[in-house]
Amino acid sequence: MRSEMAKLVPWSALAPPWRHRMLATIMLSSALVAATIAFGPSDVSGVYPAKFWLDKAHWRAMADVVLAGDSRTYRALSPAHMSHILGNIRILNFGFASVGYSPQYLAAIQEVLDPVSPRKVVVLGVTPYSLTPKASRRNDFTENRLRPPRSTLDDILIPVVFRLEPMSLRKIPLPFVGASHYYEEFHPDGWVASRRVPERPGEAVGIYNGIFKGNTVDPRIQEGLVDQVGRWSRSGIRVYAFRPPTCQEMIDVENKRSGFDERALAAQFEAAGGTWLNADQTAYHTYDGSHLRRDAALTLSEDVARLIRRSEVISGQIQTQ
Amino acid sequence: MLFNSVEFLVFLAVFFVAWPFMRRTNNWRWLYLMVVSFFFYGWWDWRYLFLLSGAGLNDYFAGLGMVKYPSLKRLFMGASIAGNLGSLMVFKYLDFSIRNVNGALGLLGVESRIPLAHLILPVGISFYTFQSLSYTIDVYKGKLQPTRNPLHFFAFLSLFPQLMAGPIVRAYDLLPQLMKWNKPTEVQRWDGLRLILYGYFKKVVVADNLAPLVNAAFGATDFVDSGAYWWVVMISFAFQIYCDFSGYSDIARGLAKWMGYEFILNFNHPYISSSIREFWTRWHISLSTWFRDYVYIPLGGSRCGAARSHLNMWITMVTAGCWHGAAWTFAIWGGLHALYLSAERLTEWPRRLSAIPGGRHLATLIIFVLVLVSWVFFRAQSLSQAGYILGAMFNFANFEAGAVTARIALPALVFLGLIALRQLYFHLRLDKVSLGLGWVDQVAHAAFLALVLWSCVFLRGPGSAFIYFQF
Repeated sequence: MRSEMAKLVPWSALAPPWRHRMLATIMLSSALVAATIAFGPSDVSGVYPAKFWLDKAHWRAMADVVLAGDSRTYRALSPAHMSHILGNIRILNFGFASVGYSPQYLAAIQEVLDPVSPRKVVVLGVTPYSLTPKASRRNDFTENRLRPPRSTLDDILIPVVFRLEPMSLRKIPLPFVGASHYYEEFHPDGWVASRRVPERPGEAVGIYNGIFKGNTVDPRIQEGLVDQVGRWSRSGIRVYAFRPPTCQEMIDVENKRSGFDERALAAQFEAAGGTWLNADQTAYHTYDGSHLRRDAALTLSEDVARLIRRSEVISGQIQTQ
Repeated sequence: MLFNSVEFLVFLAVFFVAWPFMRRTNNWRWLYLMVVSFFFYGWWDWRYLFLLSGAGLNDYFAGLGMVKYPSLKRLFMGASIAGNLGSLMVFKYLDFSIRNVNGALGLLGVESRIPLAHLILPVGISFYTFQSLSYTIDVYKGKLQPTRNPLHFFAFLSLFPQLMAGPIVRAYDLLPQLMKWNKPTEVQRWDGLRLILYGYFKKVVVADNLAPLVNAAFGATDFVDSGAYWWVVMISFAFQIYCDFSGYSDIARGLAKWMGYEFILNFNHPYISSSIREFWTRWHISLSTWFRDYVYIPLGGSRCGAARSHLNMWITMVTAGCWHGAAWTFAIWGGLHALYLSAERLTEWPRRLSAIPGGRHLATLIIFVLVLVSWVFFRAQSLSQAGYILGAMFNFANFEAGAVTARIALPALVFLGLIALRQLYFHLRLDKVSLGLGWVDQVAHAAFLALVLWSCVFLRGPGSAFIYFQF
């Protein structure tokens, strides 16, 4: 009977159901994964993040102006908008998450400058955390610097790995809570434009309440930074610094717990030949109590650029019309 | 090599491409299994292959010696025990012993201290030493004939799916299976796929998403004094360790099925147990049966009177606790379970409670709470931390729920809810219900597994090693 049936119907119809289930599972899961890769929403745009950080960590001799600092700098300063004010010069944002002003990072900042540029400028965003021992030890800069520069294999793998990145459940509108998004645009000049929906005004302040326990501003790191500023100034590199704006609560926490003395640092900085820019600390909107929202970052970028330009005009570095 | 790594997936693909060709004759099959398993183990650190080889050769020759020289059986058994337990003592318990000796010397006013050895614990040592010991003990007892082929022996000892974190497979179970090559049946392939996908889901989706919450709680510098918070943390840990460990076991069993072999079931929904005795027939079954057969029963088991049987049970449970780690917290964890078991034996309270309507559900809840209390000691970094946590958990005057919402991310709670619902599903025995929908059932099952695989890719948590690798 079975052999008679086999003549009449395809063999697959007589196959045990387990094989059908396995095939169906593999096909369905492949379709689901492919659909998610192709159509899945992403809060990230621009350059692939892995490529962004790896490339940035290996920049060499590419800029006339280097912006440096931690996340309050790389999210807050747009080189493209600064160039509207400063003119057609090469500006790159060399900021990294949680980076400290270690000798290694300071040396890397100088390497990004084009040695034959006629107008070499370094702009440092100095937060209290960037002067602490923990920041100097381990951060995104040190980790990406240790990796070899991007290879052809990376060019193939990075987009694939990006598409397979896990997604956060917070993007799904959950009952009583709603959806949460963290939009980031990774620009090739090193700026990461960010905004959060909904915003969390006090989130970072809560974190920073504990971040300085056993990890306050190290006078040796500060001294090392000031010494480097002196060396740069003597070699003809213009050095500017400012405390990246944030919210008042954050400033209060940092002033109270970190051991940071902005006035003293600014005085040392100027004595070493640098220029301390007095940016309005609380005039810009943060989305988490620490980092500037995209529109506020654009405003700050132009404001900082104007301060630099004014300083350069005063010092005769550039001529006004 | 971690199961949840890209290199393992590549390794697996290469292994199964060659497997159909390599499995046809005994020696080739065993050689292939041994070589790939050594490669798998050596990927972590090749130097510890010498330890694995040394331990294996010691027991292989001990087994042969026991049969060839029966009068020297005890000597060979002693050599096996010394080799296996000796390496465990050195790598796992040496620094713990030194710390305690230094502490005692300090109490006696002695100034000098013995320096710590700082030896790295070889991954899987607690598992493969016990697996190897089960071989020599069974040969000693006459339950098993030793194999005369070293490739056969090492294929059994080092078989990669279970080498790092179990299940501890008995020689009398696996050695005969390895004597044949079995083309996996369609059912085995399907069951294997199911087990592997569920295993990965438990590990990378549930356990890895709960891990940051648990690690942050136990690693925080400022103690959160909220009972609600610590109950949520401990429930999360209970499911983290269950999903992490049972996930690994499921993957191991699934891979074995794809090879045509069957491993022992290692976890059988332990949190639906309505007694501690039942819990230990459902949790880490391969280890609990190992301790029953090779520690509890040789000590006399329950054959020597009530008092002696309690003592034997306490020795077994505390030893099992110490097997998990070189710290007093693990010993207390084992001791607590011994206390629970003694109380059960004396009062039979779970059986009495389960006899009344709704009593089984209440008993299950009570057992879960007792197990949670013991997990505090298992996870705490010190006895004092365990004390603080228990104090907070049972301080019902301070049950501030705000600490939960402020400190615990919603996605972690969602995963916790999902796995809790799954436990309820098995507790209510809904898995036994068959809807009899024929092909609809097939499609639904396939779709569900496809969703599980999708979740493993896109809902995975921050990657981490399996918890039991540290044992």
